[in-house]
Amino acid sequence: MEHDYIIQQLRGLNVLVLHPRDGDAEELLQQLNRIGCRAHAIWPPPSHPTDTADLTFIEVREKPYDGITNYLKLTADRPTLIGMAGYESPSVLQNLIDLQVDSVLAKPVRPYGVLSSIIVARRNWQQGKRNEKIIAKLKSKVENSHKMNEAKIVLMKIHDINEDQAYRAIRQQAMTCRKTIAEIAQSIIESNALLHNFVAKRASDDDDLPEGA
Amino acid sequence: MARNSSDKPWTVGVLFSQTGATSIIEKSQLKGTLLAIDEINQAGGIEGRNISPVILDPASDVKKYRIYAEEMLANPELNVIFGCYMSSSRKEVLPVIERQNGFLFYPTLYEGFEYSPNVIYGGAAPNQNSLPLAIYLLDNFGSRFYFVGSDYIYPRESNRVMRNIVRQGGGQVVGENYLSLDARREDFEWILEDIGRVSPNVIFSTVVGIGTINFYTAYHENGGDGFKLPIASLTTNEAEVAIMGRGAAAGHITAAPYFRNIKTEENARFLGKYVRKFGSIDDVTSCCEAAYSQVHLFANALRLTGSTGADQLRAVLRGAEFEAPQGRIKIDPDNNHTYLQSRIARLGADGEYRLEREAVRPIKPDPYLAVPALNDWANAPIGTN
Repeated sequence: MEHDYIIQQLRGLNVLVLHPRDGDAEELLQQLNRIGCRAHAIWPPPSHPTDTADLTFIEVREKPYDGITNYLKLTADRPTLIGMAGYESPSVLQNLIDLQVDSVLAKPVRPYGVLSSIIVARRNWQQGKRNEKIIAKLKSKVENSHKMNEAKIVLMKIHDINEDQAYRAIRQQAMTCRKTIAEIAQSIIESNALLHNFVAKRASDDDDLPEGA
Repeated sequence: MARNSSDKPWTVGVLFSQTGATSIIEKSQLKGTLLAIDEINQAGGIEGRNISPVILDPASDVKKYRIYAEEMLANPELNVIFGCYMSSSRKEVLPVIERQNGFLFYPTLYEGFEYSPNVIYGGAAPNQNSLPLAIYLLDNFGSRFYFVGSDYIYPRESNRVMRNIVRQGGGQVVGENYLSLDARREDFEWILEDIGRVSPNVIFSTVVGIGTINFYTAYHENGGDGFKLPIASLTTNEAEVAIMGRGAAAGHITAAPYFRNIKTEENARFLGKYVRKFGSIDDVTSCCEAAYSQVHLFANALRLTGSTGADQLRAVLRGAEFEAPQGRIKIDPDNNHTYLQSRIARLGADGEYRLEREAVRPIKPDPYLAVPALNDWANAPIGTN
């Protein structure tokens, strides 16, 4: 149910067609018009992407086309990509993989199938976005808990307290300074490292002194 | 190219069921088609050649539509077919038509979300009938809708559209049930009981064919009163009302581009010819009128092309207009569907439809409208009659 809005939002999509102006591009544009998307075609691909589209159709051939790869590289937010392929030969298929398209529209283009390929592509793209977000969140969570442990150990060693007390001390400090627990943990780790370096340096300086003076 | 001298007729296929579940409505489409062909032939044909129909009866059997369409197109003289009522039958014929680059005139309302360069769609899309009907029902009866439908694609899609509009209007769907196409009177009893239990403000029916008569009759026999709790439909028509009788029909509501008792000059002429050919106008419906108009659109196109080739016909049909019994119609060059009138009528105690609302001008078809909005531009021309 979380993908409910894909169909409802179809007509709001800004669609770009990067494909030579031939019968296939024409057929696709007409069908996009019938569906009610805002669609336009540019060929060759612009060297500086201006307003980014939500959904981009790209021609996929047996060898990568620089115009398209450059365009995609320069586009900050990756749009939903649909590859338009006329062959199913291994080199074309490999390009579909390399370009990371979200779905495929087979050529010759027919009105049937355009809508399905858009829907599938949007779903895949949304899923990808959502996964990226989740991964980023989990990553920072793991990092934070790592930091927290380290900071707790520092406090436990220095003040000779138990884990629970260390945790509460960090939390208290975060509340007092209006900072996040992770930020406090980070400062504790950093200051400890600094002190440790300092002490370690002193110790090694001492080592330089002649023995048995 | 033009073979003026030849008196060989233009052969066309006509594919409507004369038997089986959807035969009542399809027979009326067949008659509309034949009436138009008669008119054209009596006026001297096209380039001096008559139109000669090859008529097959698929007997409401979806598979037969495909088989017969293949059979028809195997004839090298035949490239154009008039036919199909249910979406499922159109979907069977479509690949055959496209493969052979034939041409189909489809004179029936349907759920939208289709475009084939080889089809002219002559019936209403949801933005032309469902949307105005939903607004009328919300305005006049209340917000609790009960859906009853035949179990195939059109009712389910049609209800999806209706549900969206009802929800936008703050209404709710309090029941939704589907029965097989050949549902008998007694098969509706549990649904009628359920309706009694949940007491909706209006019943929206997408029951088609013979099931319509059984449903309305069962409703009537179980004490249902159309003036208190009406059944609203996009398909129920004059031919079905004639069979179920005025008692069962009274008070119920239909949205369609055409009703038999519309007062236009073209309609009077159309009905006059119809009664002379068939003896009665009891079975004239909006689908019959659409079939009639599509034959004339075809004939007008054929006069220009002198060929039944799909590419030639398409080129001249896009944007073509016709003064139909319902009023002026036009084929939308963007999507091969048709600009149609939009009307809502309610059956009186005498079994006659009376207009409740009508659009002031033909409404542009929007077959890919996934989520019709209540404030959509398409409603603007709907005024109270």
